[in-house]
Amino acid sequence: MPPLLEIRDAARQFVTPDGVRVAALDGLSLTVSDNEFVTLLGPSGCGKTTLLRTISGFEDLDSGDILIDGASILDRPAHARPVNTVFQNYALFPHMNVARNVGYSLEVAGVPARERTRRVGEALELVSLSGFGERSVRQLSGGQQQRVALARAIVARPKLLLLDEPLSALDRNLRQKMQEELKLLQHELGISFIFVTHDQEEALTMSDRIVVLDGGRIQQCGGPEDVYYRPANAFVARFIGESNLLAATVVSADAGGSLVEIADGTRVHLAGRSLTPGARATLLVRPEAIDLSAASETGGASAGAARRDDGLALSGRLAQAFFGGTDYRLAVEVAGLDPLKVTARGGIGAASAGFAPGRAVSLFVPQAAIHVLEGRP
Amino acid sequence: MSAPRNRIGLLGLYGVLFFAFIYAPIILIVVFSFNANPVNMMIWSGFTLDWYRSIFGLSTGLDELSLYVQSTDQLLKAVRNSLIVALTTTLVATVFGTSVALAVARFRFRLRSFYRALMFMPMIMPDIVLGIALLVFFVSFGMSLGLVSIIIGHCTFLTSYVFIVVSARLAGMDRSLEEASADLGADGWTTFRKVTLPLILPGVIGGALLAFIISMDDLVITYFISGVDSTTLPVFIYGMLRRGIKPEINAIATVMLVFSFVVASLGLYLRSRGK
Repeated sequence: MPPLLEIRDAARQFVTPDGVRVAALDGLSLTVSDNEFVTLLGPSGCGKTTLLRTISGFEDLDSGDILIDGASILDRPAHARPVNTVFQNYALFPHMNVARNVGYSLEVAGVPARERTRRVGEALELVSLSGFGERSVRQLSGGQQQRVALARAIVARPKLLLLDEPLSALDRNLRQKMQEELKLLQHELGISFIFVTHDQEEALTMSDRIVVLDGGRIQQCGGPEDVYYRPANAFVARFIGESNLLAATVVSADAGGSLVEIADGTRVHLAGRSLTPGARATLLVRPEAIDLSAASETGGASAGAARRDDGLALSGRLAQAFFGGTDYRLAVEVAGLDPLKVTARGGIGAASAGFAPGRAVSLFVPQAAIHVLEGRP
Repeated sequence: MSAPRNRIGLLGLYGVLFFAFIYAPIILIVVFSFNANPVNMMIWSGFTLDWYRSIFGLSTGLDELSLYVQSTDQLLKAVRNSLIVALTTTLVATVFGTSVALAVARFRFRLRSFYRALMFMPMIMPDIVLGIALLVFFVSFGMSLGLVSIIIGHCTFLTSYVFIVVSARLAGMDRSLEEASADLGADGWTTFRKVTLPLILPGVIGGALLAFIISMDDLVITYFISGVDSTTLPVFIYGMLRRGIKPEINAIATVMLVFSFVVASLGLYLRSRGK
């Protein structure tokens, strides 16, 4: 059975006003299955919105193909494609009330008024806006408009729902609530969602699969844990979450694993990973994977030596500390390295433990928490 | 403290004089239209509706020498011609002006800004030049002058007015609304009918009313391209004035004034409702 959506070698170039050709899509291929929540994630200009608009029919491809259920939809105009979109600014029709907005696709398709009313009611119930049908869309709050836009896009039960940064205009609390609701709704409806965002946290929260885009190309495609813990390259590592990227050189390798050395000369043995001796590598260490403890003058050496075998041990000096609520974001200066980002758990005791700048600290990263990327950062 | 108050006092006086300058002649003409003195308008000799009775063809008992309108047939015919011209022109200019505005706003094509400039041209062209040009054009093509030539002439420049008013409305319209409509399954025509047109309707109506008023009012261009039987109201009034100023002119002017007021108010009302 063909996949729900298949994008083959999609390419699209734009010419900027200065005459420079920019590839918005550069030979991009992607498949989306039934009942899947896929997020297109990337910085602005990475091609995610262009990709969405080529699927909905508002942009053409220079080359490549887009298939739904195995049939190309490129020759079909936007209004004849079995997809619906939730627009970034919602694009609600200001001259229609909520019910007419939601029922627009049914009205256009010639669905009889009674059935229309029933289905509009169902859609409004799904987004918890029952009883809002007669309201003018201008009277609604941002969150309510968002729900109306959602109800309008799902009322005709498209095969595929495209969402173009729909939560970007909402405030933080509402956004988190809508993220959870969207995920539940997707599950309930069984419609595949393609969700565009530049917010990595949003992507991690909601997606079955994240497609990280940059320069019109897929940098990585995988589950949220995959792209977070095992990024394919430095771009993905930097773009998703906070990261420390340490330049390293492979010293030796054997059946048990590889020994690598980072810029300040510290070595770490990475079990189960076979790297080419002499090769350059980049170690990715997430700030929350670093254990931070106060440096102890006595007995520290032996404890440190015991731990040195199964991870990366460093010592440094606390440079900055920011309190973020659930945790502290710290910057630690280590001789010979760029400052390291460290996340330490907060809690009432944490402040008295003291994250005073200037303190000497010991850092330890278990070797299992180190991800190796090829090449230099 | 007195200096600012003084300044406001002077400013207020300036304001009063400014509006007096604009409105005094108009108020006077309304007052004169009720003055019974048939010889000198400046001397008030009592209230009368005779001038109105005269222009509407009712008996007045006035000396025929003091009247322009021996029979109201000519006057009514001029009104009828004006209405035919204005209504037809409004219809044509609105359809064309709106279409061009949509095309220029929605499609990217070569010479787009040139097109826009072309649409502005008839507005800045002197009426007398346009009038002469149209006259020469019609005559050299052997077309007889009449209502048709007036309608064609009016359409040439009133399309521009509609274009400008509708363009302003389109500029404020969110493009994604039309995309949303297409996304929800509406083809081009359905989108125009259900989304675009309702949203630009205040602009379209505003443009249409403007075109109507200007067409009703136009003298210079119409004067050149009207024929014997196709005298419009402004041309007719101009002809009357050449026989001296008589009090009926005040009544006619007042009626036209009220008519314009009603049309303009209607336009403003529709516009405010569309916001």
